[in-house]
Amino acid sequence: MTAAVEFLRVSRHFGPASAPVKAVDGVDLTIAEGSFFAMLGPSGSGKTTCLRLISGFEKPTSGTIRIFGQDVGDIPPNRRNVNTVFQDYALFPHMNVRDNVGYGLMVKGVDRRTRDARAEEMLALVKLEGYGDRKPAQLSGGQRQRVALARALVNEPKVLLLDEPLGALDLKLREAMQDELKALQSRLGITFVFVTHDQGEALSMADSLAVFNEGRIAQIGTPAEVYARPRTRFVADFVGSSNVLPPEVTRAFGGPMKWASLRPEMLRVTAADGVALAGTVTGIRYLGAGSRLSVALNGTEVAALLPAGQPVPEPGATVGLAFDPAALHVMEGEG
Amino acid sequence: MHSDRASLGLKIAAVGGLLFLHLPILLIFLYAFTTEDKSYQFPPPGLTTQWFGVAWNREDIWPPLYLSLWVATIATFLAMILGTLVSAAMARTAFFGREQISLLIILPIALPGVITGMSLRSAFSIMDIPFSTWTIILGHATFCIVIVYNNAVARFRRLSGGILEASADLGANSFQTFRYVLLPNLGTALLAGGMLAFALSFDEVIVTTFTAGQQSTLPIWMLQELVRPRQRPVTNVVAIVVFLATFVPILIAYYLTRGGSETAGAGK
Ligand SMILES: Nc1ncnc2c1ncn2[C@@H]1O[C@H](COP(=O)(O)OP(=O)(O)OP(=O)(O)O)[C@@H](O)[C@H]1O
Ligand SMILES: [Mg+2]
Repeated sequence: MTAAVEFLRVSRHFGPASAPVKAVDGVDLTIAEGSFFAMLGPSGSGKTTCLRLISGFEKPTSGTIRIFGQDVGDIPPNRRNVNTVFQDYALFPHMNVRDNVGYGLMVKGVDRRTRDARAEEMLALVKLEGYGDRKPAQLSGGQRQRVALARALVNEPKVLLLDEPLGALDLKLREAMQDELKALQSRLGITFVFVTHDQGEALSMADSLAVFNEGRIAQIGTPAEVYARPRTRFVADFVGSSNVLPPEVTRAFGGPMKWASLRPEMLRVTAADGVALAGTVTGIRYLGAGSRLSVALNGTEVAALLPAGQPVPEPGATVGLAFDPAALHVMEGEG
Repeated sequence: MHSDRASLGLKIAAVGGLLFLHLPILLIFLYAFTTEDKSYQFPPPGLTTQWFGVAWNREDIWPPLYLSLWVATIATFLAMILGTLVSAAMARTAFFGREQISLLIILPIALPGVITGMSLRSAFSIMDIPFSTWTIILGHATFCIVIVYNNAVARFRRLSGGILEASADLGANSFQTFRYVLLPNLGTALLAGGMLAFALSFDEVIVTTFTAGQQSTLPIWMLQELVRPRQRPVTNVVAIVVFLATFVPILIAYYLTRGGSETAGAGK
């Protein structure tokens, strides 16, 4: 399989060389052709900057970026076969939807008949038939998002970059669009690079994902790998809010003297008598599909997921915790 | 009980204020039709339209009119180019001293005209530049640029950098981005700025007095004409022309920018 996008020790620093803001710092990554690649990370971790490096609006301070094997260091944004769905959509306010979608063809010199027909096709693809004559201001947020998608797809890019495209949508629409985007991606076979700070979105949609922390990649892998075997404390906490256990606690839980991650849903709450691990309930959060208990033991707080239907203990009660030893994941990475 | 409607007293005061401001303008129109040509006598002894014909045949009106039109056109043209470029630089990049430069650009309109006029006059004489049409144009361009700049910079700020990047992302080169995205969004603001600049230049007196030398623009010709008690209503006819040449562009500019803010605001 060819790599659609490759980063070789890419850095992008802003500000003075004496005290640089390291937006992207020594990133290595490979995005396989035709895959759905997610970039996940907290605000300010460098996700947008990475996308802008791919689209060409930022130039790396150091390192090399290749798109389909070609070094794109000297290629301006308008000559890269890459299109972007911008975070705020950036639709042209003075053009109607059809002209927005057809813009990429117009600047290539495609005649009006052909590009209007093509724009209608793209609008049908995003289920917006009949909206061609409207102005962007006359659309809902979800509809604008679709127009932005259709506009970015009209040039048949080899790589589509999406910068938190669902951020402005409500939960229901967001979930519907997640399914649609995923379906569209597998149908078109285009490489999607999808930026989000929502770990659920990244886990459910991506073929592989990179977790960003302070301009660096903390971990890269399939969602299942990243979720089950977080490499660092940061990843364990950020992806799925795992219990991050310090070495002494790991030891008490029957593991080695190392940092470890233990998923809350892997902990079973039992009666307090006759078990190795017992602690005091310090807090209960009702989640609908269950409850999340905070249990203080061995000097740390551990979260356990209690499925709905089980009796919920009172705060202050003593409970026992049990888990399958295989669920205790020892982390090799630092930080 | 509190009422949203204005009280009678306030209404009378408002109408009175408006009449005070605008009645003299109506009087100027009225005296263009009077039959009496030595002094402004009220009420006019009779009404006639002969002065329009007289004004048309007066040879001394045409050169100042042409000069004013020419100066306003060229000054506006210069201002549109320079004002747009400056506003693009100001709105799109941050650099050291930007606020100070912005203040310097706006200064000519904040300064009293006499100051601008005096400083230009002394600058011209230091540099040995003889007074000509071009010195008048230069003087006018200083404040015309401000008008265009103010209009354009406000619009630039509203245009998110996003749509310019989106255009490049979709494959447009910088000329295409300018032509298809920037200009349509900036166009009405530029046109409005140009109209206002034209109107300002067309009836400018103070700076012109300092920079014109022997030539007269239309407003200066009117000033000279008023002190001579000869065919006075002709001046009023010219005043109507000046009124139309300045008021109509301002009205158009008003509607252009109003429409622009509506479309820009609707996206929010
Ligand atoms: N043009 C710039 N000049 C200076 N600093 C910048 C610039 N662009 C980004 N940065 C800094 O680089 C860091 C990474 O920014 P980036 O926009 O890539 O974050 P992000 O992961 O996309 O965050 P978010 O989820 O909030 O969008 C931030 O600290 C930001 O302040
Ligand atoms: Mg971002």
